[in-house]
Amino acid sequence: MVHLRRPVRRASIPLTLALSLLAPCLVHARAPSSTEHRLEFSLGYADTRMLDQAATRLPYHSPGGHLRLRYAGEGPRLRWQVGLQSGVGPMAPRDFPDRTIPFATIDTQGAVDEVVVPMRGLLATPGVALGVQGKLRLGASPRSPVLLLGGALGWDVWYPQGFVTPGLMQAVSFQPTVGVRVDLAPRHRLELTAATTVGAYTTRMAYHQTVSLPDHNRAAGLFAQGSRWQSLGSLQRVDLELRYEHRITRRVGVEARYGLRWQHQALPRDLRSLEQVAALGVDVHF
Amino acid sequence: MRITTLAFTVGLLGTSACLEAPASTPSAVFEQIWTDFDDYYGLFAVKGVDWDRTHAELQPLVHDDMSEVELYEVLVTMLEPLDDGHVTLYPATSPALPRWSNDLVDGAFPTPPFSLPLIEDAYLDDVAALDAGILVGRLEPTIGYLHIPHFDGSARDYRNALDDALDHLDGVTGLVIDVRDNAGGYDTNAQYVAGRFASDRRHYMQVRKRSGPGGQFGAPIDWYVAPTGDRQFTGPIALLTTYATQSAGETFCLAMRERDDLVSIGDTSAGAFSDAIMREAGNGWTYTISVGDYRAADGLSYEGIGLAPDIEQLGSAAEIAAGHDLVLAAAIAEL
Repeated sequence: MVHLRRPVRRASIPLTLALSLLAPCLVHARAPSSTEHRLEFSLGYADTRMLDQAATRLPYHSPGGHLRLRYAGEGPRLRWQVGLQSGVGPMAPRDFPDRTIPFATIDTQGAVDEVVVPMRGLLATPGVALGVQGKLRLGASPRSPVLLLGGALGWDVWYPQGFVTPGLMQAVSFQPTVGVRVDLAPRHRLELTAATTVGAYTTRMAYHQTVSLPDHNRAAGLFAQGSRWQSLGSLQRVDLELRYEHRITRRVGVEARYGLRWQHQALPRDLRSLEQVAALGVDVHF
Repeated sequence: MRITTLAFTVGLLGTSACLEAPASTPSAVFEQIWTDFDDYYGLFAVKGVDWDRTHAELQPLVHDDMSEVELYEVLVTMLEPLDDGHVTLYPATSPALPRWSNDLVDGAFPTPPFSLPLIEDAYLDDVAALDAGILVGRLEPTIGYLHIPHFDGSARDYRNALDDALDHLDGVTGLVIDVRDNAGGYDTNAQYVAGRFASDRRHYMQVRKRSGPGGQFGAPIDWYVAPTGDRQFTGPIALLTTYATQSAGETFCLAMRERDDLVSIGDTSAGAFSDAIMREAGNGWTYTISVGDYRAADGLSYEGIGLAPDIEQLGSAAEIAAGHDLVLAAAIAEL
């Protein structure tokens, strides 16, 4: 792990971004000669675990559904993707999933009115990702593994609702990516990609965990008080995805994928999280 | 399959390694709650509480063999001197123990002598229910009435509600604004609503919030009330309050009190102005903490004191039961 003692200069982020996005163009490829387009739709299970010490001492868990719609294009030397995804599910402290809070009032006649409210919440995690990778075949055979090198830009939101809102954040992040793709057999393909965030513009709740600010609505108050540029010194994030594709016909395929994202943010207080996604989907090639 | 297995193994190891649960013994919970207040509470100086001394006095009473009830009692002893309606202890994993705060009686909040149905039935004509739970009507042909139950909800709700309310009250020359049961919400909503009754820009509040452990505070932020929306009501206003008027309800009162033509009637407000956050201890108990030091335009803190009305008129359950709201009657007489 690299700890930068000084905040990253803002200019270095776009510079790194530009260099990484140019990297694919420097990579030679000897793969298919025509451009192929693919639309992927997958649905699955997402398991999100986090400990956001800025909001609570308790680890939280959100098991839920996950959906991803992704367009991927691929030429002889490059491939590119645009994806929309979201997870949504209930959220509660991992070790206390069934807590309740009673709210009682006693009126002037002495009658007590009590409402018992479950302390569970909801976590939604929408996101958008753009990626470009260059392709480098690692061998002479058409079935030799292909190395994928490039970068991705992502915008991720974590929107928890509940009495306590651990993990509330948005992040626009840049990630260099590396991957390898193997054609296991005709129509069977396996791909492993890894990415790590090197710079991000993030928003989390300020240290005091409130959003009120004069002449600002809540969202504007959150952004104004909790936004910052971060680099590896305060934010570390690793994404891994393992994707298996079976091409059933020339036009249609199915996929199974497993994704993992681990992250640590140090500001304003430690947040650690682990998301795992297992999904099945359909691919349409055109 | 080996890669898949490896990925799941990495995931599980990562989960267990980085998301360790905090200790839940009584001594650990005591330390966690004390530390959270040390890190986040914004009013030690205002309240004159020496938090280190509190720790020194109470920590020896805590041991890991003590019962939940005994721990609860020590924690209440620790929090009680803060005299803060925004400090609450919710023993959420111990249902037999009541929610605690200084303003609760056996875990229940005593509602003030106030009845909105009575006002609707006995005093109001031309009633309309608006967004954000706001009620508008006429007490007399030229005296309007506006009940604002809270400042939760979106800014749009309040914009729509106040547009509709001011349309509804066209032609009135005096207005009663009733926040006697206003439990608060967002200060920015309160600021916006107060702006619908402002004729110029005035400073009404200064806020600084905790920005780190060790007693750190962020820079003070000044709040101003200025005309908001397309139109404003700038005539005489009677503002009704009780001890249940709290939090953003009270910051609304601070803004309204900067008007020239305002009389406040009723009971002293709660004296709980600051934003509060909820934190959780290792045993699943939760608690709320005031994170800000809120000062009125005069530079004073009214935390734990409340805003005294210009005209004290407490009201009573007996009056309400008899079909009379003497606080409202006093407001009508003033206008």
